[in-house]
Amino acid sequence: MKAVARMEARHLVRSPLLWLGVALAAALTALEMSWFLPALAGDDLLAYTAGGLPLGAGALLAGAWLGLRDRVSGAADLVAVTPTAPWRLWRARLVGVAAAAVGMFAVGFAVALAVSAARGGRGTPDLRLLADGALALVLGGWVGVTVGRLSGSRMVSVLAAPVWLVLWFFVVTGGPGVAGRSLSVQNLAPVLNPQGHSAAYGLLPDPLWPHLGYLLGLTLLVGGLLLVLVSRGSAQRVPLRPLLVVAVTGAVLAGTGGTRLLTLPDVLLVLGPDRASWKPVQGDVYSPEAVSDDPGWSFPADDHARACAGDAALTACVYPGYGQRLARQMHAAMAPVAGVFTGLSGVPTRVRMVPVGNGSCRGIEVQVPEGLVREPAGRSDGNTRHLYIGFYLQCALGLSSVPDDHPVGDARDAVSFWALVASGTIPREELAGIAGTDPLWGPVATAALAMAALPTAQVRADLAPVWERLRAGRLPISELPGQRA
Amino acid sequence: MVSGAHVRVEGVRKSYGGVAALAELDLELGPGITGLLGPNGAGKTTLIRILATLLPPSAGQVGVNGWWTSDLRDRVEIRRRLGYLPQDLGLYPRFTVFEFVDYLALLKELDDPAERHRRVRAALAAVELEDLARRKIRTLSGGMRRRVGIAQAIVADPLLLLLDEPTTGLDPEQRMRFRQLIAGIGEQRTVVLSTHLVEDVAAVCTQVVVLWQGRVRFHGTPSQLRQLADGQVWSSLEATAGAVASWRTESGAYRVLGERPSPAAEAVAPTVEDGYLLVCARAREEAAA
Repeated sequence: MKAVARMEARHLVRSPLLWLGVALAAALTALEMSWFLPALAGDDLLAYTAGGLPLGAGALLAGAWLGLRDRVSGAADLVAVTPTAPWRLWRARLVGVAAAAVGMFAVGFAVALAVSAARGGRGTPDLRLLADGALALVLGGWVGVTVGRLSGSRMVSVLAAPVWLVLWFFVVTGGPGVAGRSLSVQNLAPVLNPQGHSAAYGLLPDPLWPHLGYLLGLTLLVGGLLLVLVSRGSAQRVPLRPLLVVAVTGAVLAGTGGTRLLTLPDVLLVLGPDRASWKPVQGDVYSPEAVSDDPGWSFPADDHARACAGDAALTACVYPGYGQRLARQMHAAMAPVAGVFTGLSGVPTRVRMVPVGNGSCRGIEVQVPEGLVREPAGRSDGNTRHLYIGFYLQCALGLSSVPDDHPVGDARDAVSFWALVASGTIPREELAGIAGTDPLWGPVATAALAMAALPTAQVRADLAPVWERLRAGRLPISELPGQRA
Repeated sequence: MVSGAHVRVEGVRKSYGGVAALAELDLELGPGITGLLGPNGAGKTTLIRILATLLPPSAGQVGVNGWWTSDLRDRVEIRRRLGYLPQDLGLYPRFTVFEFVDYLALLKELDDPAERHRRVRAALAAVELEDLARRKIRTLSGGMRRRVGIAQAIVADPLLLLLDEPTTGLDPEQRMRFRQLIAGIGEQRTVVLSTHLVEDVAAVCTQVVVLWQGRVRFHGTPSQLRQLADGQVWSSLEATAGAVASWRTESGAYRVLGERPSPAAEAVAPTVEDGYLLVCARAREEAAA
């Protein structure tokens, strides 16, 4: 029956329905990628999520057509008078559907990654995502075969695909109204919500393993039941015991996996810098994290940010799932500004991705929250670069991440402006424009321009004696380099 | 030398919602070609489907080489030796001709790819479709599809070949080639051919069974069927009202089947069709009585 499976897979791979799913998935993925900066995380996740549902619907339609084929074509009698037992034939057909679905998923995934690569994307695909996405397609295909075979109706089969999409769409988008547990319920969809998955990278329980079990269970259950049903009244008895074992195993896997997904903590409650105080909990609001009220806390060292890039002066490390490209991008953004401050005491030499927060300092370490890096709003290269530079300057100059905590016109703002000009991040003319027109920031910009008129090394040398006072917010602008004249 | 299948039909009845399609049918068929003749609704297709193990009889039993269709395991053994062309032939339109016949050959347990492909090519050659092997089935004409159906029926070299209206849609030349093909197969195999076309039966069958309302009205050779009409076929210049059948021929004279229509009428040699029409007419008379 391997040959039948191969033949069915070959035919399914030629199915326009499946290719329609691939095209739709590729289009959706490309569309999503146009909203997300390529340098940001999860191209693999985008491919997985954006592609999963349309590909699944395509697999379902192709499967349904296979399920219908004998009846609609009128070839049922030709097949029925062969000595091949129906359960063997349908088992081979299911294997064929699975092989075609996996192949299509691989194509969809490769297309998405190729689009991503062409746009300069990066990221290390999680192999479990590949398995999970492929299983979602296999499930869709097998459900399609079941619908087609049991309904015998083209109309029902055609309608099954949108019903499948709508059903999972409501699960994926299900808000607190759905059992009051939005994220957990979303986990029951054939493809996981990436926001629920990626937010913590090991800080929340990973839903992928139970999701894999849940999908595998559903797939086995559907396949086992179909084989029993198609063999009703056939000349050859179905081997009930092994099929029952498959179906029961599937039910157990789906049940335990589904229960685990429903009870999985989806919120990391961070009560303080001590990791022992972080609590994964199941939330009833849509929020990947709950941060302590204290904006001053920072994350102690953990070993989660392991993808690093940099040099002796500054190293940037992010979660491995984001790949080194993000680390290099962070470093490239911050390194020129960091170079301006080289040698001054207490300036950051490390940048580390942390799970939650607003951006903070821990000694000489800039802590960049993952959530902000992933924030879709304002994702352009310039905005992201300024975001990273802002984090660095806050940390280097001892500025609070909460803007109201220091008065406008602080000497630290002037040093920030100077650093931006001295590092070539913004042109001197831009600062001059602020100095001449902005009543609030004008004096600060003027002071920064005066500093920028001096050689960078001299400003750095002049700042060294007053550096601690500056960082403490006790240095008046008049004592900054270049102000006395 | 391979011998064909021995088919035994014992007291077979088949009813559809109280309507008897077959009534107490007893038949024995051996190697050679048996033609099933009968008007619409006579039970030909029902009998073929029962022989093909697709329909269980309401009563009685059917055996093929000692295997009984009522037994699950025997049924599989029968199917291993069966080739079947249904009246309403359905094919997979998106498959190519070769793929479709190859697919059915796989389901008929021809597992060795090289041997299977050889047989598929041979079957396609037998129905003169080898040049169209790569064509999608949806692009074929009705006659070509019928030939694909025949190819899949013979691909596994079956001992028992059941053909329900096999020549429907074939042009005269193809019908002639089909007869040659079936005649060759019938030398060593058991072929049951259900048809409305008496000339097909007359041309290739070694046995004829005429069914009427689910009962066997005649079972013998085509010659015996023809001989039933000896002395009952006439050429007359006048149409005859009470004849079994009467129709005007090319010469302008009437061919009359039945009692001598007039003293001037001349006896002519009967055909198998005459014998068949006579059997049907007698059956109709008996039913009316």
